[in-house]
Amino acid sequence: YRLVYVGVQRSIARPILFYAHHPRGAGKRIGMATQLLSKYERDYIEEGVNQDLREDGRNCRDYRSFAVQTGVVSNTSGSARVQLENTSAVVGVKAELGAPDPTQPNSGRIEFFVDCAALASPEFEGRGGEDLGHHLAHQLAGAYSHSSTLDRGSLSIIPGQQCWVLYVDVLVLEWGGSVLDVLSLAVRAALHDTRIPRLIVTGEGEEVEVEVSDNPHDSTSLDIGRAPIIITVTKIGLNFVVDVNMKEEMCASSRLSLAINEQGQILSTSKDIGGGIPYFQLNDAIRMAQEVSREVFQKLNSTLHSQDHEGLGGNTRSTQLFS
Amino acid sequence: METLHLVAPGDVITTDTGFMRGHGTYHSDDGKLVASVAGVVQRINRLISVRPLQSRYAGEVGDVVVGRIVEVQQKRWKVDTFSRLESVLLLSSINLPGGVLRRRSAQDELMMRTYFTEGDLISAEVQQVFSDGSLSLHTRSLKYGKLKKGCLITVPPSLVKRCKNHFHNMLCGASVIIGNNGYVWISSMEVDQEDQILLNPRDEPDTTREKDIAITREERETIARLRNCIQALVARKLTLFDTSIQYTFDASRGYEVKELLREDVMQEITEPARNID
Repeated sequence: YRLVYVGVQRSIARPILFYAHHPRGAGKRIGMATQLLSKYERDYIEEGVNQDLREDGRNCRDYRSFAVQTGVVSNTSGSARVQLENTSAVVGVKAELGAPDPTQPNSGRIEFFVDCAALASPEFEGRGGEDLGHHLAHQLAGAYSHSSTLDRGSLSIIPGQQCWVLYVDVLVLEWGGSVLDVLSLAVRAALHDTRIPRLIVTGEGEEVEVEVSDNPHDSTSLDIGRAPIIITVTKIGLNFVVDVNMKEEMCASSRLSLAINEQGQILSTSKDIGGGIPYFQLNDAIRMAQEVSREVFQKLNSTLHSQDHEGLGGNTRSTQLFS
Repeated sequence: METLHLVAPGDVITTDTGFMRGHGTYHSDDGKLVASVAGVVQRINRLISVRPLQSRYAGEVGDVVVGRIVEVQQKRWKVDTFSRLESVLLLSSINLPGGVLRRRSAQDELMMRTYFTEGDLISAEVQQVFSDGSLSLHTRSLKYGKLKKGCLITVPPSLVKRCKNHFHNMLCGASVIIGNNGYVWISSMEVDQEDQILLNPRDEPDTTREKDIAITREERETIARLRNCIQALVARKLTLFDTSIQYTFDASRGYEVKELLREDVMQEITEPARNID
């Protein structure tokens, strides 16, 4: 028999489960580990956010420190790994020859694929991470959809026939909150690390031959000056925070993911989780994301440049695999 | 100190076939004894086993644990204590509101969710260990019960030192409960005093009169600092007990709370704790 409850039960703890076979329903959270929280822990986190003093002492706009390594996968055109406390991802970029989009014959293409590894979370066992992977790939593709993000014209080889296609493969290794942010950092670092081999195009008209240079050092790099990163601002209680950990993610009522480039322009937005954001808070959230993005860009660029100078990644093609 | 024989999964421990294999080992196809976990090799006469460096919590009677209610069943709750199996908290093993001693009635069974519901954190003691290794908990003392107004962090259970007392009121003004199972609860001191569930005239738990004591900013900062100190000790793989936490806390006073997240700072503040055990 079922227990009959006396009185109205407030939902004190909301165990939020992600069922892999359910399509993304209204109010269902994508990809949360089934971590239960008690009402008191929830209140503690919310009050902390209200007082601008989070569980680990950070302020609402503080990003945790992250580590970036480039050139970690040997048989790729470019790769990177990012670790932010207990969230980490590896990205590999492979540049291959392919046909351009018929609507844009003078441009190359970039395609994203995200694989949520089963070791990242129990829900990703078997095909559990597929829906989530599609969702994340879609968001990354949205961030890079605008033509200004990459010089797609330079990726074109023979207009209408051949172009470079950049296949960006993302592997999510650990799931600890702030995943989309980490993925965007890793993608940007991998694109920075990417080298496209030089081509020799001979012939005309029907008989065009494309020769790829054999020399691994004879390559060009991509201009990622306008490539964005994604900053997610999460609403907990009354205020917004950036870079949430797992527990804080469970207390979120809504979140806004913004793809911002180094110039501070917003390239794509996406809102997640069912709660509402009052219109007068939207501007504050966007401004916070823009300010935080400046700091994160600074940190990312300085790490990438120091790695370039030390000779790690890039042309030296280090074959160390996630040590 | 004798050298430890450390192995990783797949390492050959010995090719001698005369040994019996214990936990953490297996015989490979060619008769060698291979380790299946990362840990220290232990040899007792002809039995070889590998004690893993990290494993789930294996409870013993009398241990203090911090657990999370995951399920409410007919006359008991299922509690997550980071063990291999979920632990059990029987309805007959808790303190009923008002401290009364009476038989549990059908009414109590229907009201179970008002006592503890899914997601609640409790401190409890291990009453017995069943033959399959699962634990039976009890909260039959006023110091055990639901945990409120604080924050939980999880550490590997192997780092928790076995002590006589697991409820510590730190000098800094916060209280820490170090569960043997690796769940550590940090809260402000005053809150833990009022644990008694109040009764209304109809003998039901009266949550409307729950005093809402807000945590001050100073207390919140202390809790955050303690949390970061404990994380630093865990990162250095140092044993966790009240003295090591206190030393680390004192060493951290020169830094802002959020600076304690940096690796170099974590190294520095855990230095005093390294030399004690």
